[in-house]
Amino acid sequence: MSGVPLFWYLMLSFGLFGLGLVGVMRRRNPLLMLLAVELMLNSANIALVGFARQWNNTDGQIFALVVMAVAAAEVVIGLGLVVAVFRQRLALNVDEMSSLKG
Amino acid sequence: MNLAATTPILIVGAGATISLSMGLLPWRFAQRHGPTIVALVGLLAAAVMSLVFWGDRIEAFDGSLHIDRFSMLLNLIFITAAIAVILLSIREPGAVDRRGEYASLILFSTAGMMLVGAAGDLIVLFVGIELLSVALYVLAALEVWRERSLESGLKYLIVGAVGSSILLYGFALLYGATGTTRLGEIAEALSGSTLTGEPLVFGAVVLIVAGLGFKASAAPFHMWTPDVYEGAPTPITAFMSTATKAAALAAFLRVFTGGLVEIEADWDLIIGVVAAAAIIVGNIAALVQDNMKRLLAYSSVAQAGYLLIGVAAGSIQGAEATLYYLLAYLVMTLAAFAIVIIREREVIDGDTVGALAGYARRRPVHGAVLTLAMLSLAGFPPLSGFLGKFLLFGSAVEADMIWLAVIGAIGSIISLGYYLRVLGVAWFGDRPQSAAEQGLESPRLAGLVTVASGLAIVALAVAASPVLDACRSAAESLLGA
Amino acid sequence: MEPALAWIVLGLPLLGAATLAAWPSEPPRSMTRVLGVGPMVVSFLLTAWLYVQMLGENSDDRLVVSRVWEWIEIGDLSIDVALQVDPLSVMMMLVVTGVGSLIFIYSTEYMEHDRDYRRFFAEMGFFVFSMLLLVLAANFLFLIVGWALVGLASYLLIGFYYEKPPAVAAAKKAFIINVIGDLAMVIAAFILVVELGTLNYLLVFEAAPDGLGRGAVEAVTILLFVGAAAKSAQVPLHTWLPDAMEGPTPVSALIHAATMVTAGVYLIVRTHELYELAPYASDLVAITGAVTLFLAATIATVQVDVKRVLAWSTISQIGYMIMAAGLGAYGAAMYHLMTHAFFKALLFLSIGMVIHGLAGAQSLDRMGGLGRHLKFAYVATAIGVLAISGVPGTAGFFSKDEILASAWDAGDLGRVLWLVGALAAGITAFYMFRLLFRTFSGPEPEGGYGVHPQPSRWPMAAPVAVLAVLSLWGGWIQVPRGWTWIIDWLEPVIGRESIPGQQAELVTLATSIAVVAIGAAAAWWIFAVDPARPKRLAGRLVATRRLLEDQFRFDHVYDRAVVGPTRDLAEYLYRRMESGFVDGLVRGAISLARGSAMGLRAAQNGLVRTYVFVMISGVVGLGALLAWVVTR
Repeated sequence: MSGVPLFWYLMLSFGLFGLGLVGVMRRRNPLLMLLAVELMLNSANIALVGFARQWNNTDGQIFALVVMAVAAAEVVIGLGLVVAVFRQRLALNVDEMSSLKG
Repeated sequence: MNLAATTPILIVGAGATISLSMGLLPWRFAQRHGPTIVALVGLLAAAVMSLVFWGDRIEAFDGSLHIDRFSMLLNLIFITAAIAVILLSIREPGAVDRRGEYASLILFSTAGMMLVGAAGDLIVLFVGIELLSVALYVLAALEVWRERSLESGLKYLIVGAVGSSILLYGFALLYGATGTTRLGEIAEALSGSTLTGEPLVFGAVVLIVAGLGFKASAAPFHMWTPDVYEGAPTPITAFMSTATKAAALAAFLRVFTGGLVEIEADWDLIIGVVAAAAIIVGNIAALVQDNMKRLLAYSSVAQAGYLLIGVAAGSIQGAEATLYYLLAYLVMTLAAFAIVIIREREVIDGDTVGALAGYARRRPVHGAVLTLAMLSLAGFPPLSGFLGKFLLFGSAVEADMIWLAVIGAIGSIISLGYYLRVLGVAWFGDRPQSAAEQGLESPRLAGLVTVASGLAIVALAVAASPVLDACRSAAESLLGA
Repeated sequence: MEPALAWIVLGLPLLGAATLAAWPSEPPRSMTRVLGVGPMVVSFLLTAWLYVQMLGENSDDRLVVSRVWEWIEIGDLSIDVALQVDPLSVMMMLVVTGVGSLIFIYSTEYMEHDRDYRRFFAEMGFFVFSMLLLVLAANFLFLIVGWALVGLASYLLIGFYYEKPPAVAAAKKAFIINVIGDLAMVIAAFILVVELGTLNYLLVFEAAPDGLGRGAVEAVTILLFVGAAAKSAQVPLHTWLPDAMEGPTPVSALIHAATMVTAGVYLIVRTHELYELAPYASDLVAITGAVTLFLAATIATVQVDVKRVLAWSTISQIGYMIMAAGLGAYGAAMYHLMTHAFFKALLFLSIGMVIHGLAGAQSLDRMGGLGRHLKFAYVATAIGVLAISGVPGTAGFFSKDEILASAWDAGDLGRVLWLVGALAAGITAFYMFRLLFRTFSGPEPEGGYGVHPQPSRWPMAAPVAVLAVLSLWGGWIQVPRGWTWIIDWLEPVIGRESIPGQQAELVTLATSIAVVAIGAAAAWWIFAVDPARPKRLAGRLVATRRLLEDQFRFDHVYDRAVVGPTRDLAEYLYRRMESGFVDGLVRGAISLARGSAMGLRAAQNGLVRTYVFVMISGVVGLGALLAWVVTR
């Protein structure tokens, strides 16, 4: 295998996954949390594409394409919900949405 | 031939689309009742087709879909849940407000579940899981005017997306280790290997257990469950706790008992630990709940633990027990939720345990069904819940995991604490009858679902033999027999 | 012999109960009576017919398994829906349906003024069905099913007066302790499945000697005994039974005296093939029975609630049966089970007439001198007291003596247990005569009865009369040195049981007559001879203790004067056992669970961030665990 070794793809991917995870836990704005989740999904995509290169087959690339579509769907739903929250004149702060607990 | 074998999934998918477009028709009747009728017809047709293909074994689309008894049995579970939930929803405010989309979303979700049940490929599995989840995110938040419904939907979406990412990463690592996304080829690639020298497979196993454990709401990945269950419209909660749970367990069985069977010795313990944690956490946390939906949510966490025992056993026997218990769990849970839904329509704060006070005395038939459901959930002999647990514990003992059976048994005793409390309130509780309750309407469709579920609980126990035969052959088809 | 009869006997009570339950509204009382009592009586007649048919068979042909269909088949394990009709199950059926019919007839009158007439008979019918299933089951799984269902029926009936919180609490307590027993039995069944691959009685007993290791057979029998002890209220799982007296009196008579609580005895006799292979478990059974019978008898001497006196005496009497079963005297155990069903049902029903006559009063302090008003109940109770005390010629005399004589013959342990049993027989006579005297003789209580005592009408009197006859003469079916009908009858099931030797018979006879006479005389001297004596006695002791001024402590003082140390022991035991060991354990476990639940609740703080964090911690934890597994 020529070019960048698989190891670096994976390191990048791990790094992005961790970043996303920290983002979900640190952010309070649902939009930014969705963004962080996108980061996590796409870090998996990088891993998939990297593996596809290593195995020299297309399964991983197809998987990555599918994941992109799925991620888009999730974001659309997320945005819809954020708009609904906004319309109810509720604060765009996930920490304040904690009436359900116990 | 490939296409023909996938007809159940295609019918449900087409039903969802047609149901969605019924609102475009010019007639008032079609706009009002069209979506529901189309959805029900589609589901019934899919059920019929599933029965027609029972016994066939087709690896459609180059092995990415396995049309076998396992997927057909699960189809029936999903379809039953979907039909029951649509019937329970007829008068729900969310369903009335979003008439055009409601049934369609349930059908899309069902189609996703059916994909999971038939998945022979990680991509299909992932798409199925996402299809079912995305539809549920919307359904949970459907009552947009209710803050709690919105909160439930948003929480579910964010935590759910994290869960999906974890799962996806696990799939990616598995692909990286084996070079294929086909479960059958993964099994071949892994034959003879152990986790010791395979860091990728190691990571994949951990992440997949966590990701699927999240969907099945097993501890410690369960924390979203009570909040989302409480906030979502109750029929949707019923759908999540029955059908989604079945889909998650189907995924577990497909991936672990089917795909990773070669390295069973490596993963049985961690699944066993997740199962034990779910049993303990779910049963204990349920003890102090006053809201029926929350109580049933924690109970469903515990039930996920019981179901996972069959996966941890890693055998056909275990898969058979899990499948039987899924059937039993489906009807017991539907019965319980149907009664909660009836109560919600009759009194304010109808989803609390207190709202059931004296209910069993006033409607003895429903009281009997509730009793059956609660006792069966607690594993009281001779009901189907008992038989299922007996088989699950048996499979654990057979797999040399006696400790797991013991924890399950202790969990059952703890669970009596809260199931019995519900029964005690329903039969012995006293509550001044409010004026609103005087002129009670008959619960009609919800009542029908209640009674049918009650009968099914009994039937599953009485006619255990043929049902178990079906579960066994479904479990065997999992390993290509 | 027609084994199909057993299915009809089993099905009729369920049919009656289901019809009553499904009736859209409260049916007319006459209809309820027909649907409640009718199936019971028909069941009894059919059982009697079955018995007669069985008498006509050779003893080898008296065991029939009637199989209807295969319920489940999992691998090699196959479980049938089947009934085992043999002398043991027929004997139990006769007791259940016979005594049951009488109690049902009695209940038509006793429950007449209750608004839940229909529910009562529906639940009672359900109980009888479950009990019959328990005794007729042909394999361990259906035994457990019946076992659990009688527990459920008992739960429903103890909590019959649901508006009384103590009744609901008692119902829950009974249910939970019984579930502990059920669980032990399920585990025992597991071991049998794993070791022998079958749950069918006959196959298990056939395979056990070779197929079960020493440890396995001891484990199975001890686990089965935990189930038996929970159901039969043996120490330390006995605390639910006195509380269970919150249920209506006919329920106490049928379920908590005559039938369900003796299921543990039935279980041991039914599985005696296993117990014979397990000497340690058998000794454990015998010792537990002896401990129970003694403790319960002493505790009964200080009870003030009439029904609780009877409850403790039930625990004590079942202790005798369990002890006999542990010593291998299965015939004696079953014999006492039968006579006990007669005289304990009689006692509950006749005391029930008193309670009914006094509009619900149950405290001895509100009774006294009732013999003048309720002559029939007086005579009936007296017969019951004679029988349970073991006065020569009555039913209890023969069966209790046979247990004691068998113990005498059963080695060193047997001699010790014999002594305990004989002593307790004296205490039994004391507390039963105390009950009799304090209820029916002496002066009226201060402040009167509150109501005019009402004599009962025939539906209550007739069953009591039948039971009185059985309690008086029912013991004559087996007479030492005479004839051995019970042992002969049970021979196909339990094998030829050796009868106690002559020495054992004579020693037991002499001793038991002596202790019974002493116990009865003590009770008579204190409570009957001179109504003022209790007070005088108390007065003398008052000099030493200010405490005695307290009117409510009279009872304690008399008891102390007579049985001194026993009384102290009883008091201590009562406090310890009632709210002691098992309850403490249960309470401790419950508060632990509640505490953890509150902790989990606090962790569930509603914040998405927490949930994600816990999830990730779970992933890390799983990874660590898996790493440990892999590198192990």
